[in-house]
Amino acid sequence: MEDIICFYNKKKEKLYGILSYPESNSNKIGVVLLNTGLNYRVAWHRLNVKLARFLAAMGFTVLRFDTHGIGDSEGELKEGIITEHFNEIQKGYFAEDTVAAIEMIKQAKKINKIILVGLCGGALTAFFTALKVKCVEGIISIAGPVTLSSAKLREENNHLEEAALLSSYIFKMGSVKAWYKFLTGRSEYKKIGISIRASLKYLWNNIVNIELGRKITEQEHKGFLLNRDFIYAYQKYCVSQRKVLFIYADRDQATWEFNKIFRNRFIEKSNICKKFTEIHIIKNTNHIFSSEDSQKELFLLCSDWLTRITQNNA
Amino acid sequence: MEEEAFFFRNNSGRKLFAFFHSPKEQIQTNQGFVFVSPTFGEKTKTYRILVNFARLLAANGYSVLRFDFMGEGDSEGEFEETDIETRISDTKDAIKILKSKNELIKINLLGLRLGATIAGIVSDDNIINSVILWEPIIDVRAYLYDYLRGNLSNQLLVHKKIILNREQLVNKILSGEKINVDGWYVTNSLWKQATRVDIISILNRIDKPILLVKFEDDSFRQQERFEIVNKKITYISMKPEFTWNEWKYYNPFPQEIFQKTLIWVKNNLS
Repeated sequence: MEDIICFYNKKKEKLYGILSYPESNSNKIGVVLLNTGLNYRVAWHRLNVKLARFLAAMGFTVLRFDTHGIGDSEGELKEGIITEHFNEIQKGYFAEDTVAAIEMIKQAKKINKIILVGLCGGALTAFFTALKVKCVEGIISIAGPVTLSSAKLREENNHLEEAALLSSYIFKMGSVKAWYKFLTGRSEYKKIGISIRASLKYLWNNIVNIELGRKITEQEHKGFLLNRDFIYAYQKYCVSQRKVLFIYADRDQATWEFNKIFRNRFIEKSNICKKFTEIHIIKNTNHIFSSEDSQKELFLLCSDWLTRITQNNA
Repeated sequence: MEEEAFFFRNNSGRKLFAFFHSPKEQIQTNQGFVFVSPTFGEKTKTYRILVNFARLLAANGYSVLRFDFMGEGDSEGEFEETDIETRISDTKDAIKILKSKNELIKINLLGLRLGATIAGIVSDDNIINSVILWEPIIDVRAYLYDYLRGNLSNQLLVHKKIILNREQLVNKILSGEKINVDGWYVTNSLWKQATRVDIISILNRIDKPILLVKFEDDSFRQQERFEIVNKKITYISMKPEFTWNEWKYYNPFPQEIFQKTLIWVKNNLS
């Protein structure tokens, strides 16, 4: 069953959404699917529509909605460079609208348990929202970026890419031609120097521990584009003993960055974060999970995890 | 201005999502529009532009009905069940819905990309008063052929090489297989019907006001293939204000296309 619903956010803007729910035997668990960047409620190739209908058939009540200025909802987002909009979303721009959506689904369907499922930028919105709303019992974060998208920031500082260059220089160490160039003053010494410095900084960042719940300073992570607001929200969320499932696609830049600068440092090294976090990487697929097989795997992972954590919390 | 979102059933019984923008009674004209959306990912990337233009038209006294084709947006059905004919049929069903809102209303169509092509085809119907085509796809087969590039990119990403080139993909489509492009499917019926679309001859024979808007740097250079002799067509060429492909700049309210189209509407629809 599907109903069109509308509700208001804090600024009194009317937001539109679609509620998918089982005809009978609802398990009284609400799932809110969150927007990917500036896409409207259906998401890439209707992934949210397919996921909502799949979960509704499993007994969940699922809401997907347009945040303000997106899709059919009221409000307006300014025109501008898309990555700067992404940057704002990655810092929690749509969290308040999501709080309103949770209130709506709770009231409309008499539901008290909420799970947030977000794709890409929506994954980050989930963490920022969960800090505001206690009834969020779990988060499924799908292909969420751990770095900021701002093109301006990336142009100014990108130690991660600089550090990645070092491996190509190391590879060249086996080449006589490369050594000849190096010894005869024809190598890019400045670039090599930057790459070594960035790599050392990267290693140092992975050694130094950040106390749980302390926001990383800009200086501490300058150049690595790490989304400090998201990390803070993720850690606080884990401290509140709520569970999260990270799902990534193996052929995705977001996954590479997650593994490179987030996973070891902020999950593996923290007992509490590790305890409440599960990670699953889907093979042979891209950021938008375009293949049919990857979608099936994604949907099953979501429904299994949702069933598991809601049964455990019952 | 009042807005109402609802579902209606198309002629195959599927629930289609619709959104009706109704102007304030004091300024209401007897003209109404049915918006016909693009397809694939182009729909998502241009959705807000059509929402904003619908609101602008409603603020100027025109009723607007937007809807999702079967298998797209919030409508029922799977994308791979759809083709050119289902889209034509859904558009005709949407027209009936707008007519049911107000029997005296004159029906106009506005389409974008493949939606413009569909609007052009449907505009042959006597019930249609005028048609606005934003960046119509003239050669639908060439459009689909180009679109298959997305499948090649994904092959490179996953397998690090091209396993099937475009000709081989086309052969697979012709033999009845569906081909996944960015999560959407190009099917045999969509492909076959695409090759039969002849929008130019339809536009040349219809006797009603037509506005055709083209962006100057269109990669298909469709204007070169235009052989339009119909004097009822107003042709406007302009610099691209928004895109439906790679999203680098977000412009939900493109001023020039909105203003020029609104002026044309006011001058031509009475």
